[in-house]
Amino acid sequence: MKISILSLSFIGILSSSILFFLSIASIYNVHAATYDFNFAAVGDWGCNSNTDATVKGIANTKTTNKLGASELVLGLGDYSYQPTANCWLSKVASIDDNMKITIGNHENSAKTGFNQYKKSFGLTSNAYYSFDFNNVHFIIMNTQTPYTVGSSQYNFIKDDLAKAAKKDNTNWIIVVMHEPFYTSPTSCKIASCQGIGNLRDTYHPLFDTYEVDLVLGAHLHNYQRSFPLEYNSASSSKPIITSKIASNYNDPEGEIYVIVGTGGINFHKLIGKNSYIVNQQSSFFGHLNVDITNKAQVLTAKFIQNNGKVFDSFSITK
Amino acid sequence: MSRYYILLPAIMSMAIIIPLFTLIAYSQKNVTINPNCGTEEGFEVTLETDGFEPNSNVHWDLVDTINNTIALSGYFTTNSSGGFEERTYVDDINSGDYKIKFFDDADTNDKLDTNKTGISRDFSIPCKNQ
Repeated sequence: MKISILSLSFIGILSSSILFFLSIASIYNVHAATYDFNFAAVGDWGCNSNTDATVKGIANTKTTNKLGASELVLGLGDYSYQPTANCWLSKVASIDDNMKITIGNHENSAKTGFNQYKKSFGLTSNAYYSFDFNNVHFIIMNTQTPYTVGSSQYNFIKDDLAKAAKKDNTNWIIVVMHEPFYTSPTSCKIASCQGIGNLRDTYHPLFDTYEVDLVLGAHLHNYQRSFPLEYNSASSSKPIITSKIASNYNDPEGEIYVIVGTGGINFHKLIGKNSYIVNQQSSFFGHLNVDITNKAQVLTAKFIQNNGKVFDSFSITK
Repeated sequence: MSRYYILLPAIMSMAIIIPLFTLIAYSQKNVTINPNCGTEEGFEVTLETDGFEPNSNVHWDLVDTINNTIALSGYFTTNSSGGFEERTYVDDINSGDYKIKFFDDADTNDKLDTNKTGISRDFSIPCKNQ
């Protein structure tokens, strides 16, 4: 009888312990799901079979990243390259459930489908905005509308950065824009393909002040990823490299700048490599795939070619 | 019996010549570029090809004929007939005379595959008659 009572007590304690641990695990999983997510980013898509391959690559990332298919897709500008958005909207229909876009120079007017993009993605006429996704604050700039000091866009970005930097639950600040601050030399001949001095002089100091982590752009039809960079007021086209480590960073000073203009339209050939660029290529279409993991303490990014191979990867830990 | 010996060289010649002509005809590369000229502001271009390696990749380069430098490039996957019809967009380049070169590039390493040949077509910005 004594043994039976002891056995029953033991079973009771064991059951309670199991239930306790299960509930703890369940709470942990809920939190992990809240923190962790995956997003994809790419621009300069076009409307051809390479665009289809890029869409397929983004949809198939469940086999190559930790977290499954992308929960958020960022369009980095230049979509259909046609008078209407119809073709491109049709191409991305399978991945547009949670898609945010910035406007590029190929859709910045009524003649190139701006109103269609505006309506499809719920944009305002200014088309700059910000949003939070879990512990990441995204700022979508519009390089096709006025952005200089005193403009409504500048005031919005400055205020938004200041607020984001103060939020306790914001672990990462990521800025998206079409035309980039910095680039290696390419075959693209127009002035905006050289890196826009006025844009970087206006915003790079702000990004340093408010500790932006990652800046994503396109416009150049290739892939380029920089070291962490701070603004160089003495010579702004030569930013200060704050870490010469190639891939795994521990909360570095400055921001990492990535150009992902590899959606499918064509390539601007890279004809040199600037010292602040770690990796670059102009031979493969593909997208940048980013995992936010470890309770939003780790950002891991990979450039995945449309053939499934990973060309470049880096991580930032906080 | 002797009549058959007389016909034998003719039959053998036919057996060699017919497949050879078929092979040449099949591997004849064709490229159509529409339009093959336009404005510096930019325009959509349709590239249509056939006769390349089937179910593989064809690389294309838009080459400045004066400086021999690549202005734009890309690749497309071929269908079972070794062709494709695809759209790209030409802008961000200077006025001038160009050639668009196409060649088999199975692994998309930007290089002509071994034992393959390429084909090119003229292209200009702006159009000559403008």
